[in-house]
Amino acid sequence: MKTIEEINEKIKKGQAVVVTAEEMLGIVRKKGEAKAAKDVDVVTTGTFGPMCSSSIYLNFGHPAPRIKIGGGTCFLNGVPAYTGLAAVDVYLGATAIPPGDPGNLHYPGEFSYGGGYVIEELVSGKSVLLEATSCGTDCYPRKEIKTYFSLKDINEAILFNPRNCYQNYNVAVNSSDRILYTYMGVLKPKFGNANFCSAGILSPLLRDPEYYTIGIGTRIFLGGATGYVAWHGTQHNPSVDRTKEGFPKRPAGTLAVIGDLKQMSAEYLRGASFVGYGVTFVVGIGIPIPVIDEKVAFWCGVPAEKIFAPVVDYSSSYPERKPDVLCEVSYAQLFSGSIEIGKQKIPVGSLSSFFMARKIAETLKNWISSGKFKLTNPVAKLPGKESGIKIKGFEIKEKHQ
Amino acid sequence: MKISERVVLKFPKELVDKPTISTLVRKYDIEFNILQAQVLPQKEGLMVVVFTGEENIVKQVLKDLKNQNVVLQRLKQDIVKDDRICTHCGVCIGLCPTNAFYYDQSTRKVLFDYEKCITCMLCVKGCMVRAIKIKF
Repeated sequence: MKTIEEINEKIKKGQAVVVTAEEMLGIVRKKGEAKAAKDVDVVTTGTFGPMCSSSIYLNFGHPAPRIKIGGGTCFLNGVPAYTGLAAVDVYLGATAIPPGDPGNLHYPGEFSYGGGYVIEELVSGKSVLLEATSCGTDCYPRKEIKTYFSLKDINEAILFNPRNCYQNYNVAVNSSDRILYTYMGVLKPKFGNANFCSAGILSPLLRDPEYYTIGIGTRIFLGGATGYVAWHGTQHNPSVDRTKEGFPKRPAGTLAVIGDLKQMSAEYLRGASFVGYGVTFVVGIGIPIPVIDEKVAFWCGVPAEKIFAPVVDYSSSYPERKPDVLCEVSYAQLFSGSIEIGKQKIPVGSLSSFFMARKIAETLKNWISSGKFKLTNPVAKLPGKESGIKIKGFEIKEKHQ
Repeated sequence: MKISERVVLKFPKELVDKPTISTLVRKYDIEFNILQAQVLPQKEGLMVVVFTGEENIVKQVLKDLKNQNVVLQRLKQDIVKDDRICTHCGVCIGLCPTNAFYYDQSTRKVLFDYEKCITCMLCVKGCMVRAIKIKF
């Protein structure tokens, strides 16, 4: 048993043993979890994939004369930002697209620009065009503003992502006879390909399946800088079926994360777009897992062969919100490059970059080893399977109730 | 010497309704394989073809096409993966019908073997950071 304080003391002295989740898997296999728990202090994880529920909020500072953008309109490089906040605070989501974008009018739509790209441009230091209007008030007389700004010109730029880091996710296939354009990528007809989105054994919540060490307030690697877990993410669904080792067999936990966009890097935050679906944002996250006891080492020792994802048909089950799952496949199969459904061998594509996940886990490892990054005790736990929290469907009601 | 030349042919509107390829085949007795074609009335046509035959014959065929105002490009120059943009996710790997995209197993970087590419362009649509571009 080790405390976070003891581990931080070791980090301070440069004596902490920090390894990536990939390395830890080998260590546990070789030495067993008791010895691994004793020898290793911190395991670093990483993930880098499209996460639509990502956003920023900005405070521009006040121009002279002042303007109340709050309640008015605001566009950043032509992409609408939400203004229902105070005078110069605005909120921009990753999936926002310009009002003139044809969407899927010419199917499949290109979705060549939107919120995710604006965030990437800001984080890479580029200037962005702000165009806002207001009705004008006695205290905020200006009615419009048009100016270029970059991150260094404004007070705050905070990355706040209501749902990132999905713990396990669907493997998407298409049984129909036409090509599908989805948020899980292009799906070829007749089970022509299968797309999944997880860093597998490097994925943060697949190394801490029961939210034993990761909680609210956990300090993390977010977009190349330091961030924090703010809350459980939206659609957090801890009560799904689990393997005997405790790993969810369906999409389960999620995290809401927050951090200072000004410190982050465009290497780990990328605007992206799915043809026929829309604009999204690729986020790099790494979470340190303190090896406080053997339980932590045990979970870090569970290999890809023993973690399963559901295969879901995106031509019918998914859009119609049916719970059907075609089969379950292990992450070992997914990482092998093909899966089998019935007798058909299906090539696998990944939306999540293992190359980048590894880079993040390595970077975080270096930060901790060099004493630059200390661990935190969570302020509160994330709701676990005992919470009874279950994801809800949304039912249509025709009258007030 | 027998060679195989993979080329992208861009047909001007006026040629789209003419049997250009079959005329060539009869004239030169050359083997051809259409990898991909997009030919619509009154629009510019696009075709990816492999011509196989004696080197001098293949050259004559290509010259003949050029004389008919068909724009020619060698295939391998056409699909480009920009490694400054690519995040190495590998979504293209599952889409590619000829395994032109693959992981370097040690680094888990996505590599592209353009010799295998048949410019079906699925990867261009599938790449979420638009790292794969087609150049005609």
